[in-house]
Amino acid sequence: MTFRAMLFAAAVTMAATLSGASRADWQPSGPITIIVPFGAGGSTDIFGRVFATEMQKQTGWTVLVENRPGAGGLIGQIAVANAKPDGQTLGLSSTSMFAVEPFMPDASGELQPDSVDFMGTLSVIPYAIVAGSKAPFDDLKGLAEYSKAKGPAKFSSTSAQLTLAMEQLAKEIGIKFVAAQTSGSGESLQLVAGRHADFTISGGVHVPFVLDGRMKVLAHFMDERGSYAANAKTVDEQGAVLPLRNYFLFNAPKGLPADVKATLAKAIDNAVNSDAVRKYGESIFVTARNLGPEGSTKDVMEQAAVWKARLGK
Amino acid sequence: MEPASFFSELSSNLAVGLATALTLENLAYCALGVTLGTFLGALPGIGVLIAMSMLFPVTFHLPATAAIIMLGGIYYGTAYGGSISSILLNVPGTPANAVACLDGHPMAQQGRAGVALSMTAVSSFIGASVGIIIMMFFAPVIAEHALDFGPAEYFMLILLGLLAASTVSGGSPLKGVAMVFFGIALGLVGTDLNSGQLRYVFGIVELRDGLGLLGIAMGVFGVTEIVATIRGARPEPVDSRSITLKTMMPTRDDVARLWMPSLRGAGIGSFIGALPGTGSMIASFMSYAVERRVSREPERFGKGALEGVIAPEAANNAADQTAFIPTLTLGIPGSPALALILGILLIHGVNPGPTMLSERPDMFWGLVMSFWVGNILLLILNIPLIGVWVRVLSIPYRLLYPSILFFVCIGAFSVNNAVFDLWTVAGFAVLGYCMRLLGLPAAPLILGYVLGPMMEVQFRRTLIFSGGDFTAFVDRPISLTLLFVSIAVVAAPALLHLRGRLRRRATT
Amino acid sequence: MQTQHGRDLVAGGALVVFGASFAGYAATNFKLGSFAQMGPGMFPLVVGATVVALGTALLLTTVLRTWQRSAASEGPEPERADWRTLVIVVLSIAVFALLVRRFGMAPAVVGLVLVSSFASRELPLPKMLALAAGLAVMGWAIFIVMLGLPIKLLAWPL
Repeated sequence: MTFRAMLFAAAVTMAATLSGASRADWQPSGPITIIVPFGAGGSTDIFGRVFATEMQKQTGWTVLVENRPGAGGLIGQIAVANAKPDGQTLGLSSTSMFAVEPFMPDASGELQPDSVDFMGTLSVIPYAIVAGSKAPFDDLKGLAEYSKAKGPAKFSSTSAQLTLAMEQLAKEIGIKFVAAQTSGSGESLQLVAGRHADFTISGGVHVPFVLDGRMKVLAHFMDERGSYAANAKTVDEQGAVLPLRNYFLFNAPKGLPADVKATLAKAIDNAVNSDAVRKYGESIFVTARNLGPEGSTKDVMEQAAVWKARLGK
Repeated sequence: MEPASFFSELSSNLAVGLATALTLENLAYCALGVTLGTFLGALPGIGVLIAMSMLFPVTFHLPATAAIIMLGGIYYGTAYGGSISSILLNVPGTPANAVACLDGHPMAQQGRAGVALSMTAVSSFIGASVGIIIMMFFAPVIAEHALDFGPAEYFMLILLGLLAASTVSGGSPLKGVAMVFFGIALGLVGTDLNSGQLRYVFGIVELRDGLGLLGIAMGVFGVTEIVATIRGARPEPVDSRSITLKTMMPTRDDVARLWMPSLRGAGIGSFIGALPGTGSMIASFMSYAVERRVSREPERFGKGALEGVIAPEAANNAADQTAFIPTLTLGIPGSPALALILGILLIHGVNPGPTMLSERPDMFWGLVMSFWVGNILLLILNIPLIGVWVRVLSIPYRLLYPSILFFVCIGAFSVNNAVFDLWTVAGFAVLGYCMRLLGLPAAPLILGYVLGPMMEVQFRRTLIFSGGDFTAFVDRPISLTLLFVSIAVVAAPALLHLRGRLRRRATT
Repeated sequence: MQTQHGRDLVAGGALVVFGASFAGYAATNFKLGSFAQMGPGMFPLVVGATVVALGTALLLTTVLRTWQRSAASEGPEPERADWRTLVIVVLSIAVFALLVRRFGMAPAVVGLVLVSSFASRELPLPKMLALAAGLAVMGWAIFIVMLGLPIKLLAWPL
């Protein structure tokens, strides 16, 4: 399709939506905006746009992605929590925004696990603990021994939540480390690939590095082994408890009318299970999986309870 | 590898690349991309990232190569366009073009806007060409060496950049350095990366991510200029009939000044662009500082010196090209815009990394060749457009300035969809105007703002990893070399000054 | 304060005050830490102190220069301050900021053009409205249609 044809199609869709197509179900009276509280070009943004395009195609609604980055996602998520519950504003961020962030030492308390309604998930975020392929350790136990023999391992961390999660894990396995924060996975991988840091936790950007043999997975930081490095074990398989299970998580302002919520949940489910979303998921080695409103709420609340106890707030 | 086989392989690669780049479809998307890029770059405030992410859904329906060619065109097209509003209106089209204001706008005020624009187009082309050539021959080598840059090397490089920035302003060097540090202080507002501590936020949620760069740049350059121009010494609107081909033609002197500054700028830009995360802004500032240093008449800078426009523009165009090297060969994007390009590659099932060169040579070389095509198109597109752009100056200012304000506002707003960014513009307009009255330069403030936080992060990271050992800064050859260059930058003028004094004393 | 020397004194003084409060705030509110684990306060403290030093240097050199030669005769007359224009321009941005999310881009443009044109007092009302309308159409075409930014042309606050 040409660019002009795209514009034309967009205009037609918009006109159709505005004129209020007469179907039995609830219909939005304008465009649906998915607020992604991170910058354009990030993994959430790109996956979110793939999803939004599919949802628009399936429903005929206009589905826009709006980036509202800031304060590690807090600004955009607060905007979602304060939006009108008319079904036309959705949020897309991650489990840790609700399960860990509220209990961090410096948390402002503006966002709580129950500030929003959870609408489902897009997929698990494929976290893994990775190191350069020439590193003298292959798993978490090896890393622990290395840090005891050679002094604390250098951890290049992409977020404060992940540093906390790593501390939890290190306590169990006996890893000593010093953490330096980076602004994102790209920077962390650069430090590890250049052997300036020993290891990092990355949410998917590392996959090509592992595939071409420059990095290795010490542990899959999720419930299953990523197929791109099937020989590496998960954290659980290495005898520790996974401290954080992160999903790409849909949410909406509290107080959606029941029919609106049901229609949206159905639309999300259809789009998550579409070929386009699946195909993109495969390209970043995750399985698109929707836990649904109940499943995702249960998951967030369980993890939030654990983190609340851990961080003592 | 044998040189002969290297060249035969290269020529077959180029043939594959040209065959890809010159298909009618790819050519059309390339043209669309660079045209959009130029226009969006010329609009103050509308950044490349917004343009690219809005066209993102369109790329689903395109073949991977065409999608990347189009978005790539937007990406480097904005660097071309960004200098246009810097030169004409003193409003940087993108923050990386802020340097072009320093001498570009004085040139426009002297009635030489056409020359500035045409020479900038040519030097941008030279810069981009050098960047592409480097990408063609050295991409894999550079990619591996870019990884040698650890925290200590980055710190030294930033230090060098800041020292360079303080010499950018024409006036007293003391004021320049003071503004660099003032900029660093402003850059520290927000969440501290290492500890998560909020600094100088005073309970304002939006400040947690810091003051926005675009808002600051628009405030201290664009809006300040408007305030000073409305009732100040306003140049008479240019009569549009007086704009002929002749006024756009560079003199022989201009052309003679073109080559060396462009090539120096291109060299600096290519080097810095290949390091992920540094961005084209340092490149443009550094090359401006270098031009002032090597010039026989440094006093012309800030008053419409052609070298002061073309060298930084060559640098940032070169940097935009070489920034593709770490993105494509390592999979490490240097900026959010390149992260978006990476994302599109992934959507189409292409894994960037060293394997991309061997697995998808059609795409890698097609892209490289499309850069050539795109830059030639940009040159062809921009030269005739100069006549149109210069006519902007013939619009009466009373109609022009509300329009500029509108584009500044909507541009600042659209970055994060945040009203707060508009308050930033307003606040920094006040600050910028006061600074202007006090004779304090704005350009060093911008670079201090960008580099200061990076400097802190790299400094702390070096010491965290070394356990507080300061020798980590100098125990590796690259960082040590950079330190020596920095010392030379500071010491050279002082020594020259001292020698001059001694000589004078000896003669009296 | 109409001479450049007077203004340099103001600039130096402002830098000293800013630097001192910046460094003081860091020293009292943030942890300084050690070199191996630098706290969030160390770098701001150093930066603030440097700004104080540079401001002081600016003050001293200015005073010294004034001492050496008669100040008033030096250099060109600095630019005259035009506070009225500054206030009007800043106000017009504020009006845009207040209107754009709640009422949409079109009213925000009208407000911006209306307020900002007071600065030059040369634009009759019909022309002004024509300009505002033109900009609104252009903004709609570029930002909403072409780029698809999530900005509304017109909105009603509910």
